[in-house]
Amino acid sequence: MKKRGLIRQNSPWMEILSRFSRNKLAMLGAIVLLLLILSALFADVLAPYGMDDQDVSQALQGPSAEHWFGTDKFGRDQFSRVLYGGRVSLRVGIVAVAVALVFGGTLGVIAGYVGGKVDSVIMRIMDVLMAVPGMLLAVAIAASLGAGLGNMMIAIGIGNVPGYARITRAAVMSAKGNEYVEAARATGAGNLRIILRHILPNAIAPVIVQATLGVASSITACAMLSFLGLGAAPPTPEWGGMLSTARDYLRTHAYMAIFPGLFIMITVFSLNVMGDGLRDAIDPRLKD
Amino acid sequence: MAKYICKRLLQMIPVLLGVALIVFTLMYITPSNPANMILGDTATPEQVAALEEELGLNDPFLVQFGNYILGIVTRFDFGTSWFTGKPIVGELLLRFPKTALLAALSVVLSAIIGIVCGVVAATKQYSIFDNLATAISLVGVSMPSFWLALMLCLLFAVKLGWLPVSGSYGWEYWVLPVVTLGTSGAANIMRMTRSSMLEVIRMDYIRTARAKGQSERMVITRHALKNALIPVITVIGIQFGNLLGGSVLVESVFAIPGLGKYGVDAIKQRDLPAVLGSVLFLAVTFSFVNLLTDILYSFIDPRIQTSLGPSRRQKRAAAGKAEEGAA
Amino acid sequence: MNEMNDILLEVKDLAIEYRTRKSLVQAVNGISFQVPRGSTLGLVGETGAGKTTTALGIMGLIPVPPGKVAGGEILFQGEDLLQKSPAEMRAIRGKRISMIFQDPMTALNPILTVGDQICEVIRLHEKLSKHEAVAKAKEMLELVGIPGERYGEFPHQFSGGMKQRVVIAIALACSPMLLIADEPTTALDVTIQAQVLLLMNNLKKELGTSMILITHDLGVVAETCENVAIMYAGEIVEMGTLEDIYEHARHPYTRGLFDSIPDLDVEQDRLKPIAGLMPDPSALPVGCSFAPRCPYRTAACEAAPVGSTQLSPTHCVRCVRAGELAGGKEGGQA
Repeated sequence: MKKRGLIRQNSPWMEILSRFSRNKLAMLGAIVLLLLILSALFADVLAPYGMDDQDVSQALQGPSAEHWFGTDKFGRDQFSRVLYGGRVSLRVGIVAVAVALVFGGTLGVIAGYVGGKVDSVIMRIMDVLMAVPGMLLAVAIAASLGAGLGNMMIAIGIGNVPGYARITRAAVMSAKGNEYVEAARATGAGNLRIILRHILPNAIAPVIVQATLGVASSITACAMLSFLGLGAAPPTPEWGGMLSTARDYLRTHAYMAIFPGLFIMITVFSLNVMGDGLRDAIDPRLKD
Repeated sequence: MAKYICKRLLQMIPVLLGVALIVFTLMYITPSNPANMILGDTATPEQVAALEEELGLNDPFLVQFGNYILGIVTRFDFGTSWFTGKPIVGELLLRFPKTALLAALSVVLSAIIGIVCGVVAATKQYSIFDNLATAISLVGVSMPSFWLALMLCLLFAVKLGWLPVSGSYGWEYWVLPVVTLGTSGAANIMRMTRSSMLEVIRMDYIRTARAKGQSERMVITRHALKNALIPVITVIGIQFGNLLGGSVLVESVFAIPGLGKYGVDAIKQRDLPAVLGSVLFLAVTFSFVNLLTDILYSFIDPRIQTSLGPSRRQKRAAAGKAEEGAA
Repeated sequence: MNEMNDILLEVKDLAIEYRTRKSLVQAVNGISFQVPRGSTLGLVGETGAGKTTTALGIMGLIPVPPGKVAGGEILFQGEDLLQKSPAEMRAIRGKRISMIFQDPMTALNPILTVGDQICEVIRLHEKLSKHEAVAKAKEMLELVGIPGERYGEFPHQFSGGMKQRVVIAIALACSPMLLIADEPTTALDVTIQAQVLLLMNNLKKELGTSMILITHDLGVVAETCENVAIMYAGEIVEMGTLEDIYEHARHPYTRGLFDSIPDLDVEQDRLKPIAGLMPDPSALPVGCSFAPRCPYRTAACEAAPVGSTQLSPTHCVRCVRAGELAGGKEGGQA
């Protein structure tokens, strides 16, 4: 939606897109991701069973024609639950990154544009946040706020804030030095207008790359928190939560641990290769 | 050099205070009432009120925070467990060596594998080894560590029976946890080493070294690798942080009684001071590791000793790259 | 020219290409030249003419892949360097043939002291103890005008001109017979340029070194070289003594180069650049590669490859109309 507008305005985006589409691995990632998103969106239609349909007579069955990924101890169809689980993971991943992007991005723009004392205060605060490994910070926040989807999104989002703050700050600072910004200022444009019209469009590329990779790491973090029991409340299906349950059945019903993990990995993998592909497409110099 | 280390140590103080502030704030805003948690469901409102007063929960935020910091600095008091009623610092110190050992072994393993594979992949760009290593590292960074832990358990412990599943009694108990934790680290370090080497190999000074008649091996080790390692060191430092975060899960999967497992158990028991105490402890460890990487940095890169400017900028740039891969 | 045993380096029909997935770039296209002992050859041409590739080819430093020496011979003291093993080439590089690179800012390893970097080449090729090698390295520093005490300093503590002096010290440390200098002064300030050139000239004379000087600066050539080869699109279009080229240039490209230099003695309203651009080296024309830009081109120029015409024992030119276009640079344009 937004992308189309950008393409019409300036051809660099067209070039990036065409370079991206020539990267086979990245395109594969994009297609797989699209399929995953569609399967999560249309889980209602695609899933052979409801996400919480229990059938104790079918409990703990291995993969079969009726239950592709087998069933759990309540006889729930694992395939359906994996499809529904994608909704949670993708939503958490995207919302967490959006939260981080809004806060981190705003802070970064302010720090980079205003500079001076404001800049150093903001960046010192970011340094403090960075001093706690992201996963630990998320665990700490989630543990303090209590289990739940919303809290999990906040926890992961806050852990991501410093990354975006730094990246937007760096991008804004390099964009700020450009002559077209000087030219805009000379024509009497206001600060907000300069930021929105002249600096942000040119700072957005590295942020998009970071956001793509950020969704990947947020999905991992989401699965991890659920695995620890800090995620969505049962019976909401979630990949990490399913793995947590599967742990108890590892010796006897290994299939339960395989499929949800495989889906996490495929999702994260496709986002990672997409992010790498975007970065190479935006800055072809880095690739040879 | 001593002056530089002192300066860095001083710079750490506000950062650690900030971390403590975050941790304390989290404890402060938690919806659960500590007095209730300690006394259990059977307590009368009067008992709860009395304990609240005793714990200083009615003091203003800043007073409480001051007391918290004072406790840590003067008495090394990281708080009291809601579950056992005992100070948690003893528990933390008891478990810290296991976590430190696990993290150290994993970092060493991942650094060796990551750097060696990265250098070979870069020097033989587009070879079968390069493609294979790049593909494996992509999978490696995409695999959640706790799932890898389960899969390794399944394969080597349940199916093959080669290694024990849980505990920490002998070396064989450490193999799976270290491999689990080391995998994503090795993958990240390999990716960084490869791209950094590819960048350095194109530098003019590498051509100068070749023009001197230097052997290819020396060109790679003496000239290229040393330069290429500068951003890799940052990544290793960041990986150490990821490992400390990952240890929370891996320890609980493999039942290693370290800080991570303590923290996870505390989450299950809703024992917030224990959770935050472990987080604070791990964050302090991470800060010291960061200091160590900075010092290592200045040993390798002579430009840092004369001015501190480039170091921070380079670190930020490298950290940015590294974070993209960190999962 | 000179007798055979006085020829230090002879390049015959050297061709070097770069192969990428999409195209084949013929960077050097069958060039031949000689460097007599003790003399300096100026290799002149625009960026992308294949000068640096020629130099790297002589050093055996063409990156393979994508690069590849496609044919020819490089006879150094009568031996073909292209037939040498990598180990034999390593023994020659830095010892008998040295190279100075264009950009001194990036030519030194930032994390090693300048002394160590000079010491390295000495230790590689001369049987000296560590202590003696350090002494020799300090001597080299003094020789290029840097106090020996700065041995333990790092490249970032030196200015651009000083760094280039260090690079020169590295190149000359083992008294090479042939020094290849690839635009040694281009990256430096004008005042520093003169100093560095003077230094190189003096040292060259002192040590009896032969030199190939790669440049696009005809002024530098006039001060330094005995012989000049003009390169265009991977070919030597004209070659001769300094006098042949400066007084009797025949090739339209050579003339164009001289015409594009502003002449202070003659009143000129505007510069006379050579119109157009160098052809894409991955799609060179069949005939003369300069023909598309040449004011004198004929149908014959574009029809078939143009051979080299020997005008005098020292002067050769690759132009169909070499005979007609006689006269010095005063000949002007048609």
